[in-house]
Amino acid sequence: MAELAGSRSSWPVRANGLLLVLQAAGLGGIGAYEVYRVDWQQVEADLSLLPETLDLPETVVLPETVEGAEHAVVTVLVFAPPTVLALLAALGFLFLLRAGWLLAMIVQGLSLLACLLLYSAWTPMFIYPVMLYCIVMALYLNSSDVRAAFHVGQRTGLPQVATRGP
Amino acid sequence: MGPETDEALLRRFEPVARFTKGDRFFPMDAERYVRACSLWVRRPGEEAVCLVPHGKLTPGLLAEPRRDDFGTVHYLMFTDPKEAKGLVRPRARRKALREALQGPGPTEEVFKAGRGRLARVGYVSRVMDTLFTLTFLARGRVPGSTAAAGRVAYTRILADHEHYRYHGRVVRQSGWVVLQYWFFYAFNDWRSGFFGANDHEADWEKVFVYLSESPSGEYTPEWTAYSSHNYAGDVLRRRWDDPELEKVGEHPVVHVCAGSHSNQYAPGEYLTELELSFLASLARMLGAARTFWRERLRQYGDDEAEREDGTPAIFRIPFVDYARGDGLTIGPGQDKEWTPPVLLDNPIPDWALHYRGLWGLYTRDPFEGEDAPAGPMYNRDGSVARPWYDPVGWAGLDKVPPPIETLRTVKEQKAAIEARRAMLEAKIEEKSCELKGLGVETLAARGHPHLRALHEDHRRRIGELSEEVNRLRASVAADRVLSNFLEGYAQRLREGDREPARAHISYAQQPASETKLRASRLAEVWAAASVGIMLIVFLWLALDERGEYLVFALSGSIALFLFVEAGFRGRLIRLVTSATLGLAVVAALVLVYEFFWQIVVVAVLVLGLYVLWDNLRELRR
Repeated sequence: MAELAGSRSSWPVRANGLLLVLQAAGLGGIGAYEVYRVDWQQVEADLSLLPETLDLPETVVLPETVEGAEHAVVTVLVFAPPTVLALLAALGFLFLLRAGWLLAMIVQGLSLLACLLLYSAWTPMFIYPVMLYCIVMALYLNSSDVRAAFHVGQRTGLPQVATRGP
Repeated sequence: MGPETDEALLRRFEPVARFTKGDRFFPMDAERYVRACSLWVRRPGEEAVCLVPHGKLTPGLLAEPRRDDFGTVHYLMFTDPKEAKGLVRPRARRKALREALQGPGPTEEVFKAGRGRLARVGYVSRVMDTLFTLTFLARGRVPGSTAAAGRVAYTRILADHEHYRYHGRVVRQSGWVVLQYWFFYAFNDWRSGFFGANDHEADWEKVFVYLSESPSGEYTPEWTAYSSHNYAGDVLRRRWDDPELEKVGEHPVVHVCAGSHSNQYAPGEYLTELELSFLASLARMLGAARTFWRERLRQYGDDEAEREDGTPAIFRIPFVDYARGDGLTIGPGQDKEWTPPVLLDNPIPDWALHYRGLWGLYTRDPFEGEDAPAGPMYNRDGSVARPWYDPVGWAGLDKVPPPIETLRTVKEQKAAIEARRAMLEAKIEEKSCELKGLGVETLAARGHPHLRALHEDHRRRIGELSEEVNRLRASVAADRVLSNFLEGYAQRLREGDREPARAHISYAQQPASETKLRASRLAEVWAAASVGIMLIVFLWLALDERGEYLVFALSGSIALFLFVEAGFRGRLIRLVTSATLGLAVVAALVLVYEFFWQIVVVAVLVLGLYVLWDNLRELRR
């Protein structure tokens, strides 16, 4: 993995690392809260009342507790990868690895994808602040200053093209 | 200057032409070509009529004046359509070539394409390429076996008299002595032979060498310009001391592209892009959006995705021009020597001066790519071509004085600017006096109600005059700065300082790097097959999957194709960035949809708070 050159003192590196830790904490917190608020004993009891088949007909209405548990599991599943990757990206910044930028961008993409998926499913309220945060982060990561600090997309050895003369 | 001297000058700097292995057509005598052709005419709304059949045409007959209706096209036909029909099968082609090859003929070396052009460009360009290929079904084009027939006919000419000839002309313009080397090829087989954009009978290409002449009559080469497709201007030009310009003694080296006969300075494989004019407005809109994204939003933009004029590259179809220089070399001391040239001046040969028609088959292609070109003097529409009447301007050299004149031009320009400045200063003095007079009159009129009209008229005139004096003073200030710079430039010239050799080049074509050419065979196969496979998969999904899963299946398959593509092309970062920004745009639209009024309220609130904070801050100061 390529190391960042000369960016030890660059403040976008530190800011991004901090923002990613914050994002990981937020996403992890949302997942944890969703799991915490489910009464798993009640879910177990409600599930035992349902017919023992995985292929339930569409007419069967799931109890609210079971539906809540389902939501919590889906939320954890869709937010777990970006949370882990956000921590890895933050570590990448800490150790000044160039792959950190790519990981950070992937985190924003996965988080936005997760939010849009949840939006199309049952539209929990927490997705909106996450979406806003990810939009701002994606634009910040793609800004010329940050990309220059991380040397992302900077090609070297291009043909010498001089400015227009007489 | 007499013709002998012209010829000596041409021969002194004649180029060395390096061809690509497998190229089949070389510079030849245009008159011999004419003798092998038939002459045709196509009048508007009528079938083509043969005016002079094969074997009967002479340069003299070609030059005969022909009056005809507007829209009439005269053209030559090099290949015999009946013979071409008989050469569809490879065995028939080989037999015809063996029969034509009675003596030394064109090179029999075989061309190997190497890594295909499709592996070097993205999906959109590859889809556009497929569409472009399909347009040949509707457009006029040179029939498939015509290139083979052209090769047989050319081989016969060479077998009869082997020659490698250019047509030369010496022109004096704007202080430059321009040596024009016109290369005539019997056939452009770029499409059929080298996976290029077009085929056509006849091809006129050119190499110009620009000399400066000292007062004692000595010539010094200063610049060269090589023709390359439809390019014109600075991009064609290289200074004699430019390291990119290879030379053998005093002979500039030209690397001729296989089939297209476009000329390059350095050997290699060049990506040439064909612009689709009907998509130009869409490309401009995308270019404007990209500029907004980069400059206003300060976002990163990918330089590879656009070209020198800022338009996106995706609307251009890429073709590879092979200028490897590993085939036959023609020139002084090379594999083959130039046959003494044909001079195109003093006088201009009749066939060049009087024949304004096409030099090969007229296919009625609306894009003109498959139509033969006109002669060296003319464009396809019969108007005089710029390289002929303005060879200095064609290469963008009209703004550059010859070195011997540069210092004098700088001094003259400085003198002109100073004279203009003196004139402007006199004018300022005059206007200032007028302005002061008006000012005094205005002050005197104040306090006298009956002079109100005069007062207001004076104020208006003062405003206008003041603006004019301001403009004049700005011009004088700019002239003063310019004059100082010209003085500095003159000083540098006196010290022997020159501009960098490549300062005039804004965008230079570069051959593909070794790294790009080393891509794996798998990447090439993927590039060739992926567009077709993707369409088949889409069709299969559309037929097989129904309902809510179709969208997911299509999205998943597109994502998979894009991911594999990005992996092969080493553009994962670009893909991730584009996908994330695309998702960010969708998410932003969702937020706007869900919280439109809240966003408006927050925006107004933030604006109000900012104004409050800004004003209070001012009060505290």
